[in-house]
Amino acid sequence: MTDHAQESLPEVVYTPASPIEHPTRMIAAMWRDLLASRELAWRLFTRDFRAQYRQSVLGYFWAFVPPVLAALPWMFLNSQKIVNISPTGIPYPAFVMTGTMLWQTFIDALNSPLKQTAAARSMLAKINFPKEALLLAGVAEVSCNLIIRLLLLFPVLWVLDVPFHGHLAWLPLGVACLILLGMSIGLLLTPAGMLYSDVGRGISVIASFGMLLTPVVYPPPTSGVGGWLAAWNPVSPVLATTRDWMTGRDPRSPYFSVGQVRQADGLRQRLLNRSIPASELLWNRFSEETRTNLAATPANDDKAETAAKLVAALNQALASGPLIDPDRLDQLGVSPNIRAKLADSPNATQRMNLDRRWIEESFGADLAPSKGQRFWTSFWWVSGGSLAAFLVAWLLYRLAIPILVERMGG
Amino acid sequence: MSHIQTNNNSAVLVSAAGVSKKFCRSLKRSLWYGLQDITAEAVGHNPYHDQLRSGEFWAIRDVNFDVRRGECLALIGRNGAGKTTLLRLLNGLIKPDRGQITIRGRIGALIALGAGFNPILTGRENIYVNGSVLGLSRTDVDSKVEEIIDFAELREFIDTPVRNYSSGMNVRLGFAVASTLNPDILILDEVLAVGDFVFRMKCYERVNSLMNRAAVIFVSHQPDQVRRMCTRALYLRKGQPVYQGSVHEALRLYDEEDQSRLSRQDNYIDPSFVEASVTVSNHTVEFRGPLTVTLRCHARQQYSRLLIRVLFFSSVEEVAAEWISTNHHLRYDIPANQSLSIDIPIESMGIRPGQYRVGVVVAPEDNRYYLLNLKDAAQVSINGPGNMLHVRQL
Repeated sequence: MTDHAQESLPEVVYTPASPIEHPTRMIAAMWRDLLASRELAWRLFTRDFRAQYRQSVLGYFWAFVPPVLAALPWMFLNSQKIVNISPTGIPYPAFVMTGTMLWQTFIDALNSPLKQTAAARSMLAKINFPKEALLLAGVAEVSCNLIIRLLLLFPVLWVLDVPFHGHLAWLPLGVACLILLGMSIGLLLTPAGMLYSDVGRGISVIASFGMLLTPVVYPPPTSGVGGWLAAWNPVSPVLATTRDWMTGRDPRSPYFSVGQVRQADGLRQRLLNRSIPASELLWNRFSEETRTNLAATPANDDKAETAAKLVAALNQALASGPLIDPDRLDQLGVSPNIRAKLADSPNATQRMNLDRRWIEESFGADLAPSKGQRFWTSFWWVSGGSLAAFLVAWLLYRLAIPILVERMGG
Repeated sequence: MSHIQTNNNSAVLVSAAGVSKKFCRSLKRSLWYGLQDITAEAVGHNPYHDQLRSGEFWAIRDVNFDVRRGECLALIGRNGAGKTTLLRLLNGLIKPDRGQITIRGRIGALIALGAGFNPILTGRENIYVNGSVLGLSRTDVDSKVEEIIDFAELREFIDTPVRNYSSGMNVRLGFAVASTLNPDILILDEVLAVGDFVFRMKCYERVNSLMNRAAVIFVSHQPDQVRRMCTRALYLRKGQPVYQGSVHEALRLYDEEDQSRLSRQDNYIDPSFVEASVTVSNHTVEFRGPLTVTLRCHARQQYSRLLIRVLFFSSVEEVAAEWISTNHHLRYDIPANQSLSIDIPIESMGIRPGQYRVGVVVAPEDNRYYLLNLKDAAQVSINGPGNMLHVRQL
């Protein structure tokens, strides 16, 4: 019975010490477990997926019911003018449905770690398996629901005449960041959530409330408390940027979007007033057709339509080449900030962005500064931040599991 | 178990050194401590590991043992003695608060049979899920799935959702999957008592073949199983190791504890009896030697044609042998208000040598109720050779 091969047996030592005392060893173990858990994760995912749909007649229907139901009241309220939502640049139903769908994906991701861990309670209490499988299975489930929703949403967008665009290629990145953000927050809360049921309840309350604090059913506000919230709510830039990608808009675009127009008629009036140097400069860049068109628009016309016309005109001027005349900086009222950047020999795109900022500053009362650019920067900050948060949350989760299992019972 | 040999040349596969674990009785406190512990883990320094916070107690205290390949260590003790906690520590599910556990090689537990089963999915699908949870790869399961189905004797039902299975079928399937693992360390927690008789016999065989090449840790309340399967025993009482060594001695100590729990309160004496007691002629009897059991009693009313049974308990619940008066065509009469001494001569104590407790039951002829049930009336030990496992009629 002597077995000389025993020397090669893998050895595991359990001590009271926290694994965090050996960070490199712990990170290696995390990576190893992540790789080792892929097959189990797939099994758990297919198990839940099959079981979920085997016992249901409507099946996949349930994946897209919640976001559609969340969108319907807003479409109704907006169509009846009960709520006044500023122009969105694309048909409102398309805007609100992409919004609720992306929001639902975020919420799914937020709930996923706690849900998966709680469901695996009895398994965790009895068997030692790589816990990363639960997280990966959660990612698979969230992604699968998202894909089902997208398959429904794209025909809707097509019917609503939303342009499909090359930016769509960025969509996977956008949703990946959205899922990562949701998972990080959810995972950070999971250890406490497994101990206290208050956490799970809190999450669901905040999730339903949070939709209203995030630009899901309305375009990101640019001023006031709404603007502040949109700037500091980490979900906003990720959701708005991803929606831009989905609906054929470049979030980095130097061009104006309809959502920026605060007062369509006021802006038209000021553009027509050629005694303002900025208006005069722009007017000269408009095509003949645009000029007639703008001049002929009655003051009481449909606001959204006027805004669209104005944005088209402004973008035409932007596209016509450099606007700010370096010799007339004072007369054109160019701010010191923009002057400094102009002196810094900008390239064509940077130049165009400076032109746009000058227009935004000149017509500040009627035209909000573009969120797109700022959101674009925030998008990367939030993505990086959620990746870091996820790693921390993952580590914490691993440390917490034995302590949670102690309190679960067999 | 002839195949088990203690072999000191084999490597130690499981080693526990000074292992302690504390628990908290109050749920509220335990949750709060949990939050504290998680924070402490994250900071990398837990000041509470070594001290008991208010409401905590040591569920396991200073346990030491080594198990080598080929050995089988029995963990015995009452419910709540810390056996399951110890198994969870060994499995790495929870962390020790003191001491160190070293595990060498692949660990396999026949504890949670059917973990990860989803009731809506078919047996076949659940084999794959369960296999994955236990660490088997897809190809492992692919190559073993037919064997698993045959072993579980579920071929007809394998494509039926497991929620339509009986609990026995569920456990059979779980056992069949779990036992395809070929672990270096095998943890058994009384799972052997699953299924019907025929399946149990198959389980024993399968477990025996796994035990041959593994270090085994076995938790059971059945002394007979422990005696047959284990080479050593660790007896725990309230988390403290009381004895570690021979199976025989550990079981004897465990039985003593059981006895003291049973005590006289479990004896039944009908109110019509003023007193009842039992003595034996000798406390030590040779194998197949004679023994006389004497019942002394005093009843207020008269009874006639009573039946008497003498029971020999090898442990609290195990009856090793019994003597019934009807088999010997004997009936007893008890007159009213008179102290009486009844001698029951047993010609040949042909039961396996060991310690026995003697119990006496007195019942009316139809045996529908007890008049006396004296469970722990006397002690007798049988000397000599012999190895008979079954209950014998004397």
